[in-house]
Amino acid sequence: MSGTLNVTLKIWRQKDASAPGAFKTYEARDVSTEMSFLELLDVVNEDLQKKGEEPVAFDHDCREGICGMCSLVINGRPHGPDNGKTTCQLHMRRYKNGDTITVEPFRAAAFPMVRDLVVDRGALDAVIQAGGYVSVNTGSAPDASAVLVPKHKAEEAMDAAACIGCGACVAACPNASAMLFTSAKVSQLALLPQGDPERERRVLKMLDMHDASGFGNCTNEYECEKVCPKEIKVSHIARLNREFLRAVLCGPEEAKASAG
Amino acid sequence: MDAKNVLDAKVPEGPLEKKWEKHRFDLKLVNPANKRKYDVLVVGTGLAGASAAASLAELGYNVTALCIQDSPRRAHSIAAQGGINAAKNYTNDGDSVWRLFYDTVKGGDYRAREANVHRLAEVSVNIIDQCVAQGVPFARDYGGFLDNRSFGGAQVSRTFYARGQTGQQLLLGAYGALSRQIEKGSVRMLARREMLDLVVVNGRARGIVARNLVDGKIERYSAHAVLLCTGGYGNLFFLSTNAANCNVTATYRAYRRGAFFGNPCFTQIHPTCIPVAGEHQSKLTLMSESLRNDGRVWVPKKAGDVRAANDIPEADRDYYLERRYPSFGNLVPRDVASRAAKVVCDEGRGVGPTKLAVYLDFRDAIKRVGADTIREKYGNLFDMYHHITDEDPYQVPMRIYPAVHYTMGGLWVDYNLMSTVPGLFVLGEANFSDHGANRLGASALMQGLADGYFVIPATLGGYLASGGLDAVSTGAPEFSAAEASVTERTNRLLKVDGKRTVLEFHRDLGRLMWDYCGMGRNEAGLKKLLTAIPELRERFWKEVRVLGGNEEFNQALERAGRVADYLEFAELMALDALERKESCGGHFREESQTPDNEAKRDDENFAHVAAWEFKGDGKAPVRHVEPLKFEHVKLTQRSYK
Amino acid sequence: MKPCERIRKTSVGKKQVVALTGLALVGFLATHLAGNFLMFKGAQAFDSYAEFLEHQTLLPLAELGLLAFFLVHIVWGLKVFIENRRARPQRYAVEASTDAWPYAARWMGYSGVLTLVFLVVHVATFKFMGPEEGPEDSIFAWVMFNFKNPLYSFFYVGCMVSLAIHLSHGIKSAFQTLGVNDPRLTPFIERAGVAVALALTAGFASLPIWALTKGG
Repeated sequence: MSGTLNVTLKIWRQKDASAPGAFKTYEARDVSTEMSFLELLDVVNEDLQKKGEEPVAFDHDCREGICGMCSLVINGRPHGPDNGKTTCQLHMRRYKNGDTITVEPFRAAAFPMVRDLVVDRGALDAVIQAGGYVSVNTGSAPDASAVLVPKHKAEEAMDAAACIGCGACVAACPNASAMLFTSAKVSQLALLPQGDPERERRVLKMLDMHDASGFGNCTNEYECEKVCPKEIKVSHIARLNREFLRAVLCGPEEAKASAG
Repeated sequence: MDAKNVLDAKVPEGPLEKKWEKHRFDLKLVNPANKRKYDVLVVGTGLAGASAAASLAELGYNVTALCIQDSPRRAHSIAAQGGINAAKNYTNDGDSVWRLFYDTVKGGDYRAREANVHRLAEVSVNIIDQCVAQGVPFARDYGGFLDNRSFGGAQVSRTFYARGQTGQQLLLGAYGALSRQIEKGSVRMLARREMLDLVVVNGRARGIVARNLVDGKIERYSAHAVLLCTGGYGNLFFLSTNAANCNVTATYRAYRRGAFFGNPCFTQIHPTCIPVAGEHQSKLTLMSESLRNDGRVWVPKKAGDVRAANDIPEADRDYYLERRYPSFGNLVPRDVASRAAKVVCDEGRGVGPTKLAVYLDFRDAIKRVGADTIREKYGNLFDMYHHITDEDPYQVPMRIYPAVHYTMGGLWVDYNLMSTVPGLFVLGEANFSDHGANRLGASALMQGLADGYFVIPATLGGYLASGGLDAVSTGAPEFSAAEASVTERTNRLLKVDGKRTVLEFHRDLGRLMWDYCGMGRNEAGLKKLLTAIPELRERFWKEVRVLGGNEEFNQALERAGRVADYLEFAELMALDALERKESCGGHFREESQTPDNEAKRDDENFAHVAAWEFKGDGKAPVRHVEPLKFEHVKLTQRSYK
Repeated sequence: MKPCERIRKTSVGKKQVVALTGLALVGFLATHLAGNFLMFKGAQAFDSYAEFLEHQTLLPLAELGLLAFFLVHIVWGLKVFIENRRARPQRYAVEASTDAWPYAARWMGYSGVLTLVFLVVHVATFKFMGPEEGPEDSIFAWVMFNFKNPLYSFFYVGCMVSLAIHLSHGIKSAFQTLGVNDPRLTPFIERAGVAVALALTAGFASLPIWALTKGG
C-alpha cells in the first residue's frame, strides 16, 4: 500500500518574464507514495527554504481538481500522466523509485511567464469576456421552468460547461490554440435555449478575441482532448466551426457588424 | 457601553413576510444618472462577490473588483458539490418560503436572525430563475423540467443541482455576468490582488490597500463603499476542505479597523472527509454526505484492534451511530456525526495508520442491492476515494474522518449587510451569516447569491443615497498611513530571517486549534489555548524565515502575512468559544451537554450574536451582544434518538 | 464586416477555406488519376486523351481555376502554419510520446511544402517542357522517358508518400473543420480519409513503378 521512493525533479526556474530561465535539478528522498504531486512540491519547497533557497513558485488553490488553478507540464504532458485528472489529483504512487520527473510551465505566446512554473492565463478570461455569457440582467429572468430544456441537450451542455479553464488544452496543443476552451463555452450556450438569441454574435466575438490574444489555429490534432482533465470532446470544436459558418452565412447583419 | 446602541440590526418593522418588500420600498434610491458617480470596491469574486459586482455594474455603478487568484472564475465557491436550495416547490411536496425559513433557523440551532433568514428564503426562488436564464445547465428530467434532490436537515426535495458540480456552474454563471460587465467597461477587474488593509476616512470605509501579487507593489483604491466577499477562515486549522488561498486577512484587517467580528467560534466540521494520510498532508477532501444513506459507520469494539477491517467479525464491531441514535442511525446531522467520530477515536478505537478515522462500510449495502446499484449511485465518489487512497471501497470499507469545512462566523452585519463601519458591506461566507451555529447543506450557495444578486443592489443604494460622502483621493493621509503600516509589516516579516518556515508555524497553529477549539471545546482547553497562541505568535515573529523580496512574485511572503493574521485571529476565536458557555450547532462546549452527551443550548443566556470589537494590540477585545428574538420559530432542543 | 472579410480574418474561417479547397483538390486528384490510368491501356489511349484535353476551349479557364484553388490552399495553409509556429515560440524540453498518426497532423506544413515543390517540378516537366529529346509528340513516351529515370521516379514516389501523409490527416481534418463531427459518422470519415489518401498515392505511384519494372 504505502511506501516511499526517491525521485529526481528537473524543475524550470525563471525569476520573471525578462530573466532567462533554466532547469534546476532537485533530489527528493523518502517521498511517501500517499503524497500528491503538489505536496511533493511543498516538501521540496520546505527543504529549499531551510537551505536558504527561494521556493519554487507554482499555482494551486483547491487541490481537488475543480478550480483550474494548478497547471504544470509533467514529463511533457499537461497535468501529468493520468487521464481526466488535474496535477493536484496526481499521486506519487504513480511513479517508481529512481524516476526523473521534468516539470515545466504551460508554454504559449498567449500565456506570458510570471515566475518559475506560474504563467498568466488572463487571455482565457478575455475570450469569455468577449461573449461567453448570456446577456441577462439581474432580476429580469423569467420563471426557471418557463423554458424547457430537453434532458439530452442539458446533459451535453453540462459536458461542455464542466471546463475548468485550466489551459491544459493550450499547453498541449502544438499550435497553442485555445479552441477546445473557446468551443466549450460556445457549445454550452449554443445547446441551450437561453443562449440562442446571441449565438451568432457570441461565436464571432469570442473567435476574434481568441485570435487577437495570440492563440494559434486549431489543426485538429486532438492533443487537447487527450489531456483535458474534464475530458471535454473535440466534437465541441466541430460545433463551434458550424456556429461560425452559420453566423457568417446566415447570421443577422448587425451581429457581424458589431462583432467586427 | 450600552450594547443595544452599538449593535443596531436595523431590522424593518412589520410582519416577517412583508419586511423585505417594505424595506426595499423605504430605502432611498440613487438616481440612474448619478450611479456612475459612485465607485464601489468589491473584494473577492466568489458567488457573493461576482454576483454583486455584476449586478451593481448593471445598475450603473462604477465597480472595481479584486480577486486573489489569477482569474475571478477560480474562487472556492467553485468546489461546492451538492446543490443549492430554493423554495420553488416544483416537487409538490409541501415546500414553501416559510418552510425553508423554518428549516434554516432550526438547522442553525436558533442562532440566526429571523428577518435575514426569511429574506434569504424569499429570494431563493429568484436565484434559480436568474441562474437558469444565465445558461447554468441544471439537471433536467425527461420532460425538460428542472430536477430536484433532497438534502440533510430537510424533509422536502428542494435542492437544485448540476451533477456534482453545482458550485462550479453557479460560479461560472456569475462569472459570465461579471465578464459581460468587464467587457462593457463597467467593471474594472484586477486579478492576483490581495487586500491587506481597509481604509477608513471620517468613520466610513473609503477604500483599501492591496498588494499586487505579481510585482509585489502596494496599490491604493478609493471608493464610496467597500464590499468584502472574501469567504471564510477555515484554513486557520491548517487542514480543512478549503482552498489554499482562502484566508482571514481581509475580514481580520477590517475587524482591526472597527468592524465587529460576529460569532468567530462557529465553525462547521463535516463528518465525511478522507482522513489525513501523513505529515505531508496539505488539504482534506470532502466525500459527499449522501454516502451515509447506504454506508454503515463503525469502529472496532476494542481499543487497539489492529486486524484488517474485513477480518473483524460482526461481534467485535461497534456501529456506534446506530447504537447511540437508534431512530436516525447513520443519518444524524453533520455536527452530531462528527462529534461521535471524535469520541470513539479519543477512546483509542480509531482505525487506519493514524488511528484518526472510522469506517464507512458498504458491505451490507452491496450484499443487499448489489455492487452495480451502488456503483450507479456513488460510482464517481468511490472512484475519487480509490484514486486518493489507493483502496477499493467496493472491497474494503472507506476510512473517513471529520474536517473543517465552513465558518458560520464572520464580520457582523445589519439587515442591510453593512458592518459596524459605515460603508463597509460584507457578503457571503465572510459575514456572520444567516446560518446561525450550523449551516445546512446546499445553503451556502444560496446565501452567497442572495447577498450578491438581490440584497446588496437594494441596500447599497440606500446607503449611498443618504449622502454625506465627499470625494476621497488615494492621496489622503489615511491611505498613506495604511500603506505605510502594510509595508512596515511586510518588511518586518522579511527581516526576521529565522529558522522555521511559514508552513511549520501554520501547521502548529492548526494542530493547537484542532485539539482545543475543534469538535469539542472546554474551558481548560480554551484557556490553555489563550496562552499557547500568543506564545506561538511570539515565536513566529522571532523564528520565521521568509525568503525573497517584497516587490516580486513571492508566495512564501503571501502565506506569511496570512499566517501572521491567523495567529492573531485564532485568539479571538478561542476567546469567543470560551465566552459562549453553551453548546449550539458546530460549537460544542463539553461542559454543556445533556446526560446522553448531546449538545445542550442555553437559550436563557446565549440566545444572541456575540460581536467582538477590536480595542488595540495587546488590549482585550470587547464582546458586544445582539439579542436574538424568536417570534415565529419555536425553540426546541434537538434530539436524534 | 462582410462575410469574405470575416472569413479571411478569423482563424476558423481561414481553416475552412483551406479545408474546402483541399477537398476540391482531392476531387481533382481523383480525376487526374483516372486519366493517368489510361497509360496502362497503352500509348494511343493516353495520347488521344491528352489531345482531347488540349483541344478543350475552356481548358485555360479550368487551369486557371485549378491554379487559384492551389494558390489559396497553399497560401492560407502556410499562413496558418506560420501563425501556429508563432503561437508556441518556446518548445517543451520533454515532448510526451504520442501516437503515430498525429505526426501526419504535425507535418502538414512540411508535407504541404514538399507537395508544392513536386507540383512545380511536375508542371514544369509535363506542361512546359516538351518531349524534345524523346520520341516527338507522344506525351505517353515523354512520361515514360521521365519515369524510366530512377532518380525522377524515386522523387515522384517519395512525393506521393508525403502526399499520403498529408491527406491522411487532411481529409478527415477538413470534415471536422467544416463542422462535421458525429459519433456515427466520424469513425467512418476517418477511415475513409486514410483509405482515399492511400488509394490516391498507390494509384499515382503505380505508374512510375510500372514504368521502371515493366516499362511498356
